[in-house]
Amino acid sequence: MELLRLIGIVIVIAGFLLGFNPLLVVLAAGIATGLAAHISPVTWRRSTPPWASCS
Amino acid sequence: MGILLLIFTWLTLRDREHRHRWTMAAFWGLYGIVFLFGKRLPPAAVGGIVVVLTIIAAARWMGPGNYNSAPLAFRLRMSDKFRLWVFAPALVIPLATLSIGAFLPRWGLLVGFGIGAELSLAFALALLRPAIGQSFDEGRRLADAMGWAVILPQFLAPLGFLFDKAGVGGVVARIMATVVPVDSRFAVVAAYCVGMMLFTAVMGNAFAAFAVLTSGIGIPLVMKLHGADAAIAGVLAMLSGYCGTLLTPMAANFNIVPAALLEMKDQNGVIKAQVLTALPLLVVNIFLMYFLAFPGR
Repeated sequence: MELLRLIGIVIVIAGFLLGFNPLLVVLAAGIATGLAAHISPVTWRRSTPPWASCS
Repeated sequence: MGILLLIFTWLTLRDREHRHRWTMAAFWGLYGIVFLFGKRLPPAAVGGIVVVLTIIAAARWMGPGNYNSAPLAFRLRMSDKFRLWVFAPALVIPLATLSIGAFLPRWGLLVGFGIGAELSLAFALALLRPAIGQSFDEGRRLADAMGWAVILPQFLAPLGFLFDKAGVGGVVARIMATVVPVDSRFAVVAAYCVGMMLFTAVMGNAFAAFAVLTSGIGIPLVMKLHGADAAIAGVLAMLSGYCGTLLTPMAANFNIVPAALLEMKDQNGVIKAQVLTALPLLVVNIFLMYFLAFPGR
């Protein structure tokens, strides 16, 4: 089910509209997206997004 | 930054009347540890800290404390004495940043910004002569007022990275290909720009949206299929993303924190004021990309 990978977007929008704490919403969206895409939740390899210091 | 956060932690721990003394101290302390040792800690440990920070914020175990702020009489006396000059230290920061960026390009703007902040602090201390340690206390007051919003940008950057790794761009591209008439150059350009705005609004971060949307629409449809110039199209797509930044509460550092710090009555006042900039700018961007990004065609 490929569309499941968009679950993070749904969680961000719904979470925000329902007034949950944004940190909680972002964390939930990240975990759900990772699970949907079968990315292991624990990794020992370091990877930094290239835009980490930008907004 | 890490050391400053640990100083805030210490000041919070000494604030015995603080309602959320322990959790607030834990919040700034853990955040400071990530700043100082994040590169040496195993990623899973940093992940655990992120979860703890989220729990503290979501449980509302945060709040203002008691600060050793300058008394009102002192502030009024100083503002009478210096009038508009009280803003001079603040002006030192952009002036120093720009002059170092212009005359010492090797150091760059970020170093200039750091030096500017130090100069500004020294200037302010010399001008106003506050009590020793006052700046740390005022710093903690500001940090507490911003609260969890301070770390939202650092939460959003990995979310964008994760979206990219999870292949969200590819899914978006396949959906777009069925919805948008891909043969129409104008339609794909509009989809790229509007998509950038919407994704930035969701992720609060134009850079994260750019990775997803450019791999999803920008490269396959706008650049490969219609032959756009990557540099021109990319710049205009980023600018379209910033239209989303103007509209979203997710970009808390720009849109929510100032409203909180200025104690505005309407928490969304900043966003409402920006709508009339963002939407016309998006339309302009779409036409600019349509007319400028396709050389000789």
